[in-house]
Amino acid sequence: MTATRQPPLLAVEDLSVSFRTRSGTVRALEGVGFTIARGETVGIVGESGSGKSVTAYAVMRLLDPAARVTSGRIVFGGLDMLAADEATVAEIRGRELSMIFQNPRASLNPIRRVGAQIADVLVRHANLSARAAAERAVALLAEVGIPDPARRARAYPFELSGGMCQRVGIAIALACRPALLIADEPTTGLDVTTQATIMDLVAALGRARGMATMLITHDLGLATERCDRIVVMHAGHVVEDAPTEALFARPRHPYTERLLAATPRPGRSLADLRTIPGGLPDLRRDDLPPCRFHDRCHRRSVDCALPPLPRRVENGRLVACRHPL
Amino acid sequence: MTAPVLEARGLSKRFPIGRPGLLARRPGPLLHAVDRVSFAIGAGETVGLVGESGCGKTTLTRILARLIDPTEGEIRFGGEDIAAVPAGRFSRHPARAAIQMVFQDAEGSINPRFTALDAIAAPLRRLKGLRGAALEAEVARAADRCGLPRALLSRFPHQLSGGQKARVGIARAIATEPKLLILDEPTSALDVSVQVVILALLAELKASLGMSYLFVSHDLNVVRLICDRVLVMYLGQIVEEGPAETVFRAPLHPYTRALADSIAIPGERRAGPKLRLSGDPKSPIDPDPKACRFHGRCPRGRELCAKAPPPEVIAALGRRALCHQPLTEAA
Repeated sequence: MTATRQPPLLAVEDLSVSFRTRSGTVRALEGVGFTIARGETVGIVGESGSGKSVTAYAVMRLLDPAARVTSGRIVFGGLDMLAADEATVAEIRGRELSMIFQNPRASLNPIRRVGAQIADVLVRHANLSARAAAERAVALLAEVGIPDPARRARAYPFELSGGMCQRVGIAIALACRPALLIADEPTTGLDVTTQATIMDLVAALGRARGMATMLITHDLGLATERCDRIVVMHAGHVVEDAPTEALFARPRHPYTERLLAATPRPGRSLADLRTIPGGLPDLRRDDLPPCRFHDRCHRRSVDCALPPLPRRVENGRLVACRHPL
Repeated sequence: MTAPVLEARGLSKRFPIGRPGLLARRPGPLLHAVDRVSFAIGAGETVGLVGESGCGKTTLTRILARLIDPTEGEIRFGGEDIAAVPAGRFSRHPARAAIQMVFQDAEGSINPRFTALDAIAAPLRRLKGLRGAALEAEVARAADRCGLPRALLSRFPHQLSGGQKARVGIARAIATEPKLLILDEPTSALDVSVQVVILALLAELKASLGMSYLFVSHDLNVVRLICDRVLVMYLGQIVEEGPAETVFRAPLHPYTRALADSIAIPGERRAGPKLRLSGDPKSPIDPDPKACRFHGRCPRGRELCAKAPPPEVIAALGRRALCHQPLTEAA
């Protein structure tokens, strides 16, 4: 994928975001960069506080007012998202670029029927009449596998199960056939059997439409099953970016290695699992080490005081470490 | 299995819903949350309880912890049927201190106006009647066991990290040195790096205090990791029971098979067709006693499944399923 000359669908370059808070400036993202090609599914994984969601919201240009982008570019389909005016972004958001959220019920409007919420997107972006949009909404509900869609279109979110609400969320996100879907922990809080069917649905629709997906998750199992490539984040840095199989076969960044070693999987006993010493550094600190894993790393040495410039260790694989494994 | 520390026999909980009409002779509709459930937990054993939300896991744990009364059935614990003790009076029963619970949401289950010390002291004060220096010594002992630095004992929940709050929840539960600890998704809110530490702590405590665990979880990779045996619930019934590894590797019940097929394994892509469920479970309100509750969602369902309740199939010692046509190793 990276070998082709075609420019990537999404390119995030040197993105830094900080938040002003009462207790100081939180440097949530620093120098984050990665690309997503057309049709590709890329996982963004990391623990809470690693900056996964901030990255997603930055791409959607939905960051909190307290956030400030201090450096970097986000280029989506040739458009500089950070430089574009609000009207242009609003035109793209929901049509070319859309998002499904972690808590499906909370992300829907509780006092509007779900069919109307899907129709909203179509009226706004696809220039459909209200009636045509309502009909299309029912067809979309059928497409995401909701039985009896005509009746369910008239339901309110509280009348539907969590799995069904997420299907509605997917119908809204995919109504205009976006080129990129951002899925922020789309199955957290759903039952495992429902999780699997929801992810099957996203994968099938993605394949059928050649849609790219950015899957944000802390679940390495989910990332393994669904992603072509995985971007590992730690404390606001991208530490490793590699094809899924290569990443699991041989992690190169010490953090990735530790993360995999801490994750339960069949055939491993509790004694086989290892912990990661320490916690995430306080991102408000002024004296954050250039490598934010520095204080937790078992491989650190003197030159780790210098920035861990991302380098290509093998084809299609980047590692931000001076002493990769 | 070793000698059971707790044995449940035919436990049921049915909640009346809606109001029965004033003049109605017939009782109103009943929600069958737990339906004639029998199982045992051996001494020193970790038993996993899995199933989708709404299947009755929480109701079952609340019955076992004697927070609510079962509609029928027995709970043998310490040679006595503790189901016969009303929930309201159980707080003064000696078994209260012997069955403790760790809740899912460590943040929400600790009184925000209690310091860590108050939270851990409460059960010791109420159930063991400890006061003063003896109380403080026991609190410190529980905190030490759970790796909670004593300096943190004066903090309130909002001043603690997720992992530290989990430790407070565990310290509070083990302070009275229970025989049985019911753990309701104790690590679901934690990051993997913290989860490992908490799971290791739980394993260590179990060994040192000789406890048994009932471990409720959605994370089947974790269940597989720490449980000796597993109970699979579906709509109020235990549909399968067996050693954890066997249950997930060679499930008997089609529902368990769908669960096992839904587990995403880190670093491993499984080939081959996977069993997926369609639709939602049936309503637990007045279910048809003559049909299998999984019928309609089950890919193997036959006519018989709608006409007769499924029999209990015993495949091996301690290995059973509730199904008309259980899967075999080859299926």
